[in-house]
Amino acid sequence: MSSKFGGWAGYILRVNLTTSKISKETTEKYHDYIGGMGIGYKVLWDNHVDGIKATDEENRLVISAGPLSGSGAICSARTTITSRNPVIRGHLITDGHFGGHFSPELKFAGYDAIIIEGKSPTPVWLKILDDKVTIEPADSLWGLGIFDTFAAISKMMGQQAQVAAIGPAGENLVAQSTFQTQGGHSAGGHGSVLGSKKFKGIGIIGTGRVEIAESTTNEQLRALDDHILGIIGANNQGVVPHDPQSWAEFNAGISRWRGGPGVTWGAADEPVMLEETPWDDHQKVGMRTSMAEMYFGREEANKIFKRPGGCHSCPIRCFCELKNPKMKTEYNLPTEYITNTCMGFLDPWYSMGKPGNGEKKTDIMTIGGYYMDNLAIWSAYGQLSHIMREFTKRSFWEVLLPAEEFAAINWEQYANLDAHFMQDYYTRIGLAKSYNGSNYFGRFLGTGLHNFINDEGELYNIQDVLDDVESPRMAGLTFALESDAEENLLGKTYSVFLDEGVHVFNRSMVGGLHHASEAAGQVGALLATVFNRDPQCHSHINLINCGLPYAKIAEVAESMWGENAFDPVKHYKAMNVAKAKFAKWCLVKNVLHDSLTVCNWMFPLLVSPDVNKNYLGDSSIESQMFSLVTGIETSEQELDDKAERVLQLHRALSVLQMKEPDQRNNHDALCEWVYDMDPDKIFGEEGTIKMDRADIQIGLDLFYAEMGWDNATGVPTRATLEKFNLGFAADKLEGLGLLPA
Amino acid sequence: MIELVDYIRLLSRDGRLSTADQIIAVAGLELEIEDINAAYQTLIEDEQYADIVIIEAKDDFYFYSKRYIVKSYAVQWIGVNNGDLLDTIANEIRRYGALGELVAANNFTHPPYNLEKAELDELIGKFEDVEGCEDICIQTANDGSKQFFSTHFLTTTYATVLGNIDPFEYSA
Repeated sequence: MSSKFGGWAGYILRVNLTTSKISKETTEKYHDYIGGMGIGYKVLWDNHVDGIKATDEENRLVISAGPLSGSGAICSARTTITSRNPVIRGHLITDGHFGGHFSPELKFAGYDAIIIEGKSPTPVWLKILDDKVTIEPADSLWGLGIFDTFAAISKMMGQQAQVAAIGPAGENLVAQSTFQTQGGHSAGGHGSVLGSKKFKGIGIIGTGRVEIAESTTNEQLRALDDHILGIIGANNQGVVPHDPQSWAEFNAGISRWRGGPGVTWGAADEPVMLEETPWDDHQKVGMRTSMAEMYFGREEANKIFKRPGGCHSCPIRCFCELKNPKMKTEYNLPTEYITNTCMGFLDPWYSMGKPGNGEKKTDIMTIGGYYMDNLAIWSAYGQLSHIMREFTKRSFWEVLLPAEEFAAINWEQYANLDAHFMQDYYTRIGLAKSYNGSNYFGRFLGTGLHNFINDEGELYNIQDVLDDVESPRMAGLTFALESDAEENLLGKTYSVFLDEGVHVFNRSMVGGLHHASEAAGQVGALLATVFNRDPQCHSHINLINCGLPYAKIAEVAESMWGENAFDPVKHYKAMNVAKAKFAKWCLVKNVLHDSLTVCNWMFPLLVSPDVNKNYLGDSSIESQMFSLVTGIETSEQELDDKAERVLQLHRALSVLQMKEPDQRNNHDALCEWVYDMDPDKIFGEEGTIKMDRADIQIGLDLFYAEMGWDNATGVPTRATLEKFNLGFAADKLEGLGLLPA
Repeated sequence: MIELVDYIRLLSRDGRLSTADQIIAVAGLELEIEDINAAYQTLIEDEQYADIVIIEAKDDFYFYSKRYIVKSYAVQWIGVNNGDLLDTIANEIRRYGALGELVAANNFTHPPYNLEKAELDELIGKFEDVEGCEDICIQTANDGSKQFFSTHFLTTTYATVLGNIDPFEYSA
């Protein structure tokens, strides 16, 4: 064992691309930050440089695993990527995450994290064969799509290699670009950071293992696995089936427990017709989710779904491995297979206006998904597609683009829902300036919305912005749709802060809507104030979308956080302390998961499918796994405290990077549409998710109180930072006049 | 009684309840049970048979294994097989309603109902005429799907809200 603890591999690689120096340092100094996201934030704090851009040489990028990755702990194969993000106003720190098999392999090679710093003069990739780590020339890889890159590195290293890489979008410094690993797993926002460093990717073969604490027995691990398998559900902790099954008291349309009678994995070599998938049949856990049906509808899914896929040590399998023969025969792609989930399919669909289920939709999602991944484009949780859909609906492109360029885009294909449109659409975004022809369209969509709007969310002339005109003109767009009249917007200057359809939620950060006010009302809204991008938080979703009836969920929420913690869907009540506690709990668990690195699309397991347990789960699973793997006996509260340390450090680092002592007004503000939507309704009426300005201010008061943040500014107080052993952060902020008095 | 257990479990796996006499007949068992309740109580004293559940219907006692069938399903199965289709459906709608939820009409195309679409459409019209079912309402959502609800628990306006929740409207 490389250290006295289990779990952590023991070392962090620091790769300086300017000097070509590769060094190792111990992980132990990061143990108080758990791992994953915690390592990333601490490295960025320790190496903070004022005022730099994400693509500057001084910016660092951290690829990190948590102590559970590779240990065999259930759902523990997430990888965290942390760096400044060019899609975010001020290029603030964000973290992206992917699943797959990368972080376990990194651990098997002996490392908990890789810090990439500096900038190479020529394209390179990093080859890791256990302790043999070398920087290799990547001239032959530069320009390759993601699938060919994976194949090329695997060919050089052997097919057991785990590979993560950027695609053409990252190389072309497209801000909305990803860092991806095999199997459709991608992390958003940092492709161009690596592209700016001329860093194509990483191949890893690790022949070691993740040690488990010597004090832990196989029987203990088995017992914990059995316990987890007794309370885990389907993806997003759906604990009842989507359709009725004889073993289930309830079923629910919201549940992702799709596997059951009528579902067929029709594209499998031998088609598999699913039968009932009882909650206590551990052999069928992997059949539960069968999520293609959710994206494609049953008829299409039953044709194209080959099998579910997913990550190392995950029994849930939320990815869809698909076979659409038309990818080759009609769209001339080199493959008829694609694997992905969520935005990998939804972004193309949203872009094309959300057509109904059928072959056209299937083609859009599979062909679009292929191009998006191959070029390694990031949707910014759908912001890309929402802009595309809304601007097309509003006929804005004709105004925004040069006439010749507008004419060169095949809008007839778009109108006909022809998936051939996907090729040029994503190629324009991925190639940016390298596209053969005028391409303001693709450059705009890939650059990050914050660059193109004024403080009111009104658009500048995008050509002026992209041409670096010092004082860009305004675009002169107005709300002109009939439906705008219903929202009292008709004739007003167009603003993305007023347009619900673009889904910008956090006004300050121009961050995308992601399980916000539509999910538990103020709880979801408050979650969207804290991180610098969309919050990527599913802690609340794994409860409120579990499929149990509302009253059952409300009962669980009340037992956890107090009365009225969870309101009926689209029928919200005023803010209260219970909701503030609920929001904080969600964030702490989210950070915990991204630090451990376990899956926040499954954990926490607050509910279970077991009627005999009255559907209660166990929120202490993470600490049980941590204790057994590391050998450090840690209670749920103790582990949550470590996670909160990471969360508090994130807040301090955001304050530092922004040099902004007023987070309340300049970081935590929400868009106008959040309050002004549905003008015929008032906050609290049934049928709307609209928030109330005064109520959200009360929400911030209560939430800040729970977090130990100054009420006026939303900045952590010295007492709070010191409580979490972050006195060094308090000192730094105080020295800069950024700490509340 | 022990001889029946494997059959009960087998049928339960298939979503079916059965009486002792049915199993005895189908399996060709030489068995006579005088007091079915007493025999059942004796059976479940042995923990290995604790999954077997007895449930009373109009004319007989039925058995199922709770390894495979949950009580609410068993109650519905009994109702459907006793010919009390409308009452059974109404009670199911109220069970969900009491917890703040609608019931997708599509649910009743699944076991134990197995209604064809035409049968379902015909049945929807019948509720209005049945005494005691005045609280049962049907609505059609924007996507064309139909849902039931009970006005004992949900207002028609809020039922409309719930019925039109689009999981892809905001976040996926």
